[in-house]
Amino acid sequence: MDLEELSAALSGIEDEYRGRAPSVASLRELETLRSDFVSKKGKVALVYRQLGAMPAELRPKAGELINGLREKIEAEIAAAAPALEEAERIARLAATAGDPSALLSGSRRGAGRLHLVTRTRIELEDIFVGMGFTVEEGPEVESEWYNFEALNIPKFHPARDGQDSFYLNLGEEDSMVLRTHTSPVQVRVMQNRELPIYAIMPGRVFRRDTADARHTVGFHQIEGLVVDEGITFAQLAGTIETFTRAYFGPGITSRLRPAYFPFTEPSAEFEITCTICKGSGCRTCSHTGWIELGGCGMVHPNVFAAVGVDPERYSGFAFGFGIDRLAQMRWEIPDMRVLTENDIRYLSSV
Amino acid sequence: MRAVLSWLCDFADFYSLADREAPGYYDALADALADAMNARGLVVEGIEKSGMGLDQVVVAKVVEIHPIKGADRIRRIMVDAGAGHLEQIVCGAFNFSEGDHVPLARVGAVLPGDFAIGLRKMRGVESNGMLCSARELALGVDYDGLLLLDRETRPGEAIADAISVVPDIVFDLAIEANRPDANCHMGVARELAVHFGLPFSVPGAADLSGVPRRDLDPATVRTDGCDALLLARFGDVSGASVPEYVSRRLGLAGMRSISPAVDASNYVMLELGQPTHPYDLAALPAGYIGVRDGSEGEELTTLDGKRRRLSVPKGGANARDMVIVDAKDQAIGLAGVMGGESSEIGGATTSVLLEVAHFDAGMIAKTSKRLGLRSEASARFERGVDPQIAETAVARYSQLIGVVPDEIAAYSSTAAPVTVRLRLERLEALLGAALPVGKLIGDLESMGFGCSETGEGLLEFVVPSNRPDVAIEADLIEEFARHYGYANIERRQLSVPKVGRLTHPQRMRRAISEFSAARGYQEAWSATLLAPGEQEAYGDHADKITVANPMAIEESVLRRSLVSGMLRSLGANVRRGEARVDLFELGKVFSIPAAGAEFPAETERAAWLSYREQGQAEQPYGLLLDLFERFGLELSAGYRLVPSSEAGGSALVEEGFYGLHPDNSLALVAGAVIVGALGMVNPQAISRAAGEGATGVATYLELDLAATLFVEPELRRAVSVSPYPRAEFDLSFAVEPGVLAVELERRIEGALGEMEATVSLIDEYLGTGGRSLTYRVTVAAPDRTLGETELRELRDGAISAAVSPGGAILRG
Repeated sequence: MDLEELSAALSGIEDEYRGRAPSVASLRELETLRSDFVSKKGKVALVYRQLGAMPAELRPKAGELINGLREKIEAEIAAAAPALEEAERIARLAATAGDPSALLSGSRRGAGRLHLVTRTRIELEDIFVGMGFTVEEGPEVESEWYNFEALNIPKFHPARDGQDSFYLNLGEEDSMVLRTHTSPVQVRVMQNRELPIYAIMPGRVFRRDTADARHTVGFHQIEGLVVDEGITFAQLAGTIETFTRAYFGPGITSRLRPAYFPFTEPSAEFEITCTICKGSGCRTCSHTGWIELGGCGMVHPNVFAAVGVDPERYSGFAFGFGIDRLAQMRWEIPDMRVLTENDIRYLSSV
Repeated sequence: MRAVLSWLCDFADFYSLADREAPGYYDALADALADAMNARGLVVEGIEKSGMGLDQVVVAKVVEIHPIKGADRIRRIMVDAGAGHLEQIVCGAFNFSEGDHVPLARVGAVLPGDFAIGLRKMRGVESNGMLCSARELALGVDYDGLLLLDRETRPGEAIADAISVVPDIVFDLAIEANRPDANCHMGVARELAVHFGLPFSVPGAADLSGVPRRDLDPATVRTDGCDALLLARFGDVSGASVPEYVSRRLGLAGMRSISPAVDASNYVMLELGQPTHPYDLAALPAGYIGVRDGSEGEELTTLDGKRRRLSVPKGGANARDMVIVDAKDQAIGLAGVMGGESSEIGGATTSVLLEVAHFDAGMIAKTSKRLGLRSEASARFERGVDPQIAETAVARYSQLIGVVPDEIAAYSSTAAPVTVRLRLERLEALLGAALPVGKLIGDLESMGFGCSETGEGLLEFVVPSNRPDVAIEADLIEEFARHYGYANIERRQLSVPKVGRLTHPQRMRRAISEFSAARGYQEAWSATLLAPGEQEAYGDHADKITVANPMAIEESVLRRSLVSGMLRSLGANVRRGEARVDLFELGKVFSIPAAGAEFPAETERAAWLSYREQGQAEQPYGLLLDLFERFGLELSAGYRLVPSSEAGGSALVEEGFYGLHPDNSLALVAGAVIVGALGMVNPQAISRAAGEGATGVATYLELDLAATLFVEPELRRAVSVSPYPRAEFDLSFAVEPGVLAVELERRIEGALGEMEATVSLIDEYLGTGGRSLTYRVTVAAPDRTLGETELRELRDGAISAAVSPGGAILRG
């Protein structure tokens, strides 16, 4: 092949290229074009391979011609790419345009919520765990010994009355109950754990009440128990106050006043600043500025005796209050029965 | 206990606690006293002011009474209230007639309790004020009708001028069960007098030193439930009267005025805490009464006109009733609870026998409960009446009616006083405070305690007979703390020498809840107590624990599974029109105790219920896999899924899993124990729970938590992942309907041995040609790229594992 033939061949390739280039409409077609003409197996490269058959003195000039065409085509292809790229980007967006708010009914899984009582319990647990307490549990079906006897509630005490407690048809008559309070867990913890004890005991309890706006048959209490050497009533008051500030926040404080519980002596009722009026007096607190929250006191020597703790060496305090009632206060629940109705409209709205 | 201020002031000068000349005197006084009462554990539940705020209340004379058309509970009353013309009032009371004088609260009056009187219209008839009952004016407890005034009063006259209205305050107190001493005015006043450091004295009583006395014949008391009985005979009470304040104070305290003899008895009870009972001597042959245990089937009619039948239940000594009997041994009263009709004081009574007794607290409580009959007397006896107060009570009664008894007969077997020792060191150690001990001992002495020092730092107290709550050292410590003031004990920070931390199950409970909520489930709290037959209706016929004394029969059986409560909740939601419901719950279930065990098997479970009226409900197997994956457990490690029918439907029910579709549910088995169940809810169960209109499907998963999600996963070192390319192939099998997809999956997985593999079902085809399952297998070797040959061997191995006996047939 001489240079003339070469030129003609290259012109032919260029003509072919010029014939195809205008119809290229995509990056993919552009790539095909590049591959067909200027890749290692492309038409230009095929011509190049024929250089070997040319006289040596013609080769530099021939190479120059071939590279010239290749570079020209390469430059043109490179120049065409950005416009095609842009057009493609726009086309792709147009093809996938839409309205994200057009969510079809039923296509959403949705998120559930924890029950208000669970949420309250978790918050209470976290506060006491933060103070160094552990969380203990016990059975919901209790023997009369744990539920009453060991807690210094003797036979014939009004608290044992069938008016208030659900007795079960198990074992001997009146020997098993649905626990009426979480206090039997105190007894179990003192029996089963090493001293000292710093524990809270949340759980479900049952009272023989007609369900109404303020009562449900089952409800939840949280109990606290501290037993160690040198535990004092002053520390009980301090613990109640620490909890009150942590849970209810600033502006709410606590106070103790004398009360009676069979399993503590001295006993106290604890009240907190009314959370509605912040102490200035309102209907909720009967214009006293205080609302009653729970009971507490120093562990009664008879309770220590029942579980074999030496009351001369150890002393302790206990306290307890309703979890559901705290939930009621926080979410201003007018009727407690919503807590057990499991209406998903309600559960998902609070 | 309703405590009346003027009554308390008979014991100590509480009026001096506020400045009488200052405005708002009674408010200040009420606040000061209420604070003190609260601080001492006499909890103030309400404060009512009486004889105040009656400026706009006048005397009105009823002139005409007209019916109102279409209303049978109200009438139109025309009154003369001194305005010079008749005024029209609408009134709902019926206890008056034309000519009566009654109180009228004019428009603009603000009655006690902040009750503002406005111009009102009822049934189109305008009412220019309100005609009032004693209760509405806080002048007494009567609200059956209007307060009828003396006809001598002048229409238009202010009520405060027309009748003697005394400003007074009533404190409604909640007295703790262990403080019977505070259940009377004397007790409340004593406590307050000590609090304020005021001199305390008991109001005058008649001098009975000249009254003839005799011992009661021991045979009079034939029960061990009565340890003291005092009978005072008043031969002539025909001219007896009580002071004017008696009926007013009784009214404020919540009791109605009846007659001098009865009013004086009630007054003594509210003042001294000792219930007494006056009998009409004319109705008592031989003037005799006695006390004995009631007998089976014995009957009497109590003062309230009800016929009562006594029974002697099994349960021994404490379960008996006590009766008061006449000379013929006929029951004429329920001792300590209520008198009988036959010997009731009436208008014709001219002589009275006053019974003052001390009864066993437990026995009175039992009788009162058994008969559903609670009286002011029984309420006091069941908490404990001061055994030493009987003489004082008689003397006070005598003084009130102005008649001295002809004779007093007494029987007594009262026990010696209680003494309790107190270590001062213990006192301060338990309270965590230094106390002004000397001052506090003085306070206790004012409360009636006797104190003597018996050693270094050792005191001995003689407990007054009205304080049964003080029996041990801790009780005395409380008494000291009460007098010091709980509020004065400085709070101290507790320093906890331990680390607070949740246990693994406690953390898991939270994690499961959060996981479930994130997946779209709402947390439910469903009933622990179910109706009889409720669980049976879902297929559970096992024995159940039942409540011996249910409140309602619908809440009398302990749940053995969470499913019944979940279905109840589902039903309620579907009936409200919900088309999709996703609920989860964590809770306890209960089974009859194992042989020899005292406690029932009480296990904690979690359950998930998913309902869709249309479309796909949750796939419970997928939920189970996700839960296990999330919490690091492996289903293949120790667990098996078995079709319910194969596990034996009865075995599943035996373990407390029921309500599922018999041919579309699986049992989760660990070892040989069923620890969970999943699948479709039985359509019949849905219909039963949600009504025939419920057309959707529900799926369900319930797990025994201790055996599944509470298991702490074994600690594994971080696993390295194969860097070599993954190969992928699909396998299709024809399978019998009874073959579990998960079973084939397990077999294929098993055949892939050491390889890093996932086996997933990508298609289930159910058609005329039978059922077929297609799995996609991806596989990679940990240490090399799998070659063609090796891959073919793995594929063949997987197929032969799948088609081995009881398995599948390879499709094309």
